[in-house]
Amino acid sequence: MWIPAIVVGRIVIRRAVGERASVPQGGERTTVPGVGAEMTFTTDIDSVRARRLVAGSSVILHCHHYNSRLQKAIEGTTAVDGRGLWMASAESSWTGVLERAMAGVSAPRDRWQRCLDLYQFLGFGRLQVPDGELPETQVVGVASHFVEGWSAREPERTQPVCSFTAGFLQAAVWVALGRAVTFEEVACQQGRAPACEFVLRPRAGAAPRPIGVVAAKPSDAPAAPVGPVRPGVDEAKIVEAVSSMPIAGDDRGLIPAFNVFLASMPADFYNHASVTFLAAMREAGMGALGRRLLMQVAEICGLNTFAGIRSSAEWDALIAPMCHDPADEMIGLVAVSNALGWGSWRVTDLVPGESMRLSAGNGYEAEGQLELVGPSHEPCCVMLTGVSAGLMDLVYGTGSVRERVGQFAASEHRCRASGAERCEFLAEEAA
Amino acid sequence: MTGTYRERVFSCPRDRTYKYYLPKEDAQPAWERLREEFGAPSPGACGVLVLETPRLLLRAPSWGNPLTVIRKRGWSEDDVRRFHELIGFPGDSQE
Repeated sequence: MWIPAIVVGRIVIRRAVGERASVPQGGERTTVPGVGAEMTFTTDIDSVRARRLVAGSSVILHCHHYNSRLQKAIEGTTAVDGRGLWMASAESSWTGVLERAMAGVSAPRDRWQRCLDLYQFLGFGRLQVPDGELPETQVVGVASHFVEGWSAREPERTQPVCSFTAGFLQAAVWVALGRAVTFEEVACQQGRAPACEFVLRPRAGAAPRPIGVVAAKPSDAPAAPVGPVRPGVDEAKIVEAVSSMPIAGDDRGLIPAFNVFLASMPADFYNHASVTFLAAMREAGMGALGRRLLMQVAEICGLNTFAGIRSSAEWDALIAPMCHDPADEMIGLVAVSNALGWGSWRVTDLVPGESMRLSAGNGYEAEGQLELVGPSHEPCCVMLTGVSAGLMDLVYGTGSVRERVGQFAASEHRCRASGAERCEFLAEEAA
Repeated sequence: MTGTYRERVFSCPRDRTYKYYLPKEDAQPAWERLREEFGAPSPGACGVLVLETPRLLLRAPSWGNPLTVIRKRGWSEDDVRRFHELIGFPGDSQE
């Protein structure tokens, strides 16, 4: 049974310089400046199962580094239709998410606005219709989570990067207005345009179809077992404090936190993108390469995201005082990750500088595999596997962040999607 | 190292973000000068102290040290120079 252990309400607030920030709690309502609609979204947090739920859908916190690298890995794979898979995953996952978010909203204008508000609330940026209330010819993006990711890593790139947003818009027009359309990004802030511009065109093919039931009912899978206790590190306090952080898009629809830009990504999107990409790669005879690609993206995410977390003021204030050695830091970092909606996982064994074992009770990838496809003959949690290596790279590796990539390697040797009770990971020094 | 020093925060989405480490005895006086110049800081999530100036965002644990400085859009060298004066940072070669 789904019982939110903590309910955190968070509304976007615009504040002038010098004003004190305030954080409404418990689903208060306010008007979002410049948008004109009421934002009534809340984040329900199940701290036992480490899940986050917004408007009826499970969401996963990742940063701009991970999301843009994942996009590059999938879209940039020319052996399969990576770009088509990426956009199809965006469209179909958003179709399901937006349909669930429309309960009690019937007027087309209100439904459309709710779509844009949810997009902003989740941290993907801010979208506007420049020529009216409803989209007839184009939609404009004034800020973009994905542009932030690409421009941080590849500032010289000028090609448009907002295919995820185009997929969202196709879903939104279908769910809000019942019109099957396509969107093409004709100008992008990544290419130095003042705003991202998406041109709407009628669609000849099939209408968007929703996917995903993972979202609506997180499993009753057991939480991960208790790992080695580091006396000074209060994991429960860390999880509660980070879970209680007001994480929602600001007036630009971005979530700057922990020294990165976070976004609350629908779990269905990650699962659909991963499952369909790996299936296409297997069909092309490159299944192992596909898995390695996704794991490497996650490893780099583990390094960058958690390097950002470890150098943040939040870390200095909350976690650094609990840490006396790198092993304490590792436990603190994994505790933080338990507030990100990935599912519950714990360190079960740690040999400082050499190896680490982790156990996940309900990782979102295993649940997604079981819901979308069914049991798997091989472990499927590529993100958690890559992050396991990235955490070891970060805490025990040497050199710059870039130089640490690949110093540790990880594998998933048991997976719930393959019938195991829990997913278990081993990260150790690379051979 | 005994005086104030700083380290670059490379993973920050904003360019040229630094974390300033102040000698323990200097932290409180520095924050008093910052308060006089920019107003009182606000409590943020996870026990973080937040002080937003027109072109800088200052963040620190509740005891004020270390102090992370994020440069907002439109920041200038004058903003950074003034901040350095207020906390007593003589500058270094990192810029």
